[in-house]
Amino acid sequence: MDRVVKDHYDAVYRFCARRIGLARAGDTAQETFLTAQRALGRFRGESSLRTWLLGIALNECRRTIRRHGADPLPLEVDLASPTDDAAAVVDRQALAAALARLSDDHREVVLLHELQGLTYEEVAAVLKVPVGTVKSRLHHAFLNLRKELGA
Amino acid sequence: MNEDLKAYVDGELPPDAAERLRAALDADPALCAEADALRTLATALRRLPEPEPVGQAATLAALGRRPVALWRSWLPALAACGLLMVVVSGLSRPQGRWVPAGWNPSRARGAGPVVATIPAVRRGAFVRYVRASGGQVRRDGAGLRAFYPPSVHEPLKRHFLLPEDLPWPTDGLRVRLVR
Repeated sequence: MDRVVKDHYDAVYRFCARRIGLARAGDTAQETFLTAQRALGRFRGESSLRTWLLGIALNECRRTIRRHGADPLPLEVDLASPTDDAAAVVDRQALAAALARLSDDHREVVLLHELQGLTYEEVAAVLKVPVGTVKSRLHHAFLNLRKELGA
Repeated sequence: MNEDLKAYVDGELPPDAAERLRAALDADPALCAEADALRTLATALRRLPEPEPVGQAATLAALGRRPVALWRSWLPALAACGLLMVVVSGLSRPQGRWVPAGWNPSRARGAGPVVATIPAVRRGAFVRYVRASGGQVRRDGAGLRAFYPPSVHEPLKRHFLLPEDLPWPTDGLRVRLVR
């Protein structure tokens, strides 16, 4: 199990951070791996291990939100780097805020496809929805992001 | 068409649908600009700063501390112990037991070195004595095999005039009946 944590912790943590915020990301990522340890015997290899772990992470995030009422906010990360010009920083801050304001369904597909790099089929497996639903949610999520950004 | 456009940009359209959309893009500059806007937004999302992961060491420690399920920890050990006990009890002769469980006269024949001889006419008395003392007597070939508690051994020797140096038979006393 140590190998699994070392290989996938970063991806799981980042997904949790984007989904529920930095404050509870560590605890939720840890709970994801504890759940995975208990369920590892039931992993049948029908999806990649990463996809399976993200599915668990998604459930843990939803459980955390139910328990603590966490409201995802833009990440408290330093969006500016020394090479960024001011306009780019504003765009990225606005984008991070727009991402945080998406509905849960839309944010999840964006996180899984755009930030985690999962295919539509893998996203569908994580969310347990048809591929067509993933396609539709992504389309509407991008519409909303562009609306928020005025693009 | 719009949903297809995002899927096309992501390379997720089936070949025939992708071919149709490619043709539409060639004929429609506005649609082409729309596709570019989707690509730009996707690229911007992927370039958002990623949070620096923390807590991996704590997770590894928590995994090490967490007791695994009973069936994955204790049950195999208990099963192994149980199996070992069954094997040992099946292979070993009764040690210090005066009534062995599952004693099989045919298999035990000749196993015990402690043999006593009593007159055949006292067979009934011997059997009654042992049984009255809480022991058991079984037929063993032409003779008998008697199992009894250690406390019965000395009185039994005196009562049936058995040799003084006859040790208490841990494997049952083989009794040869003579006329």
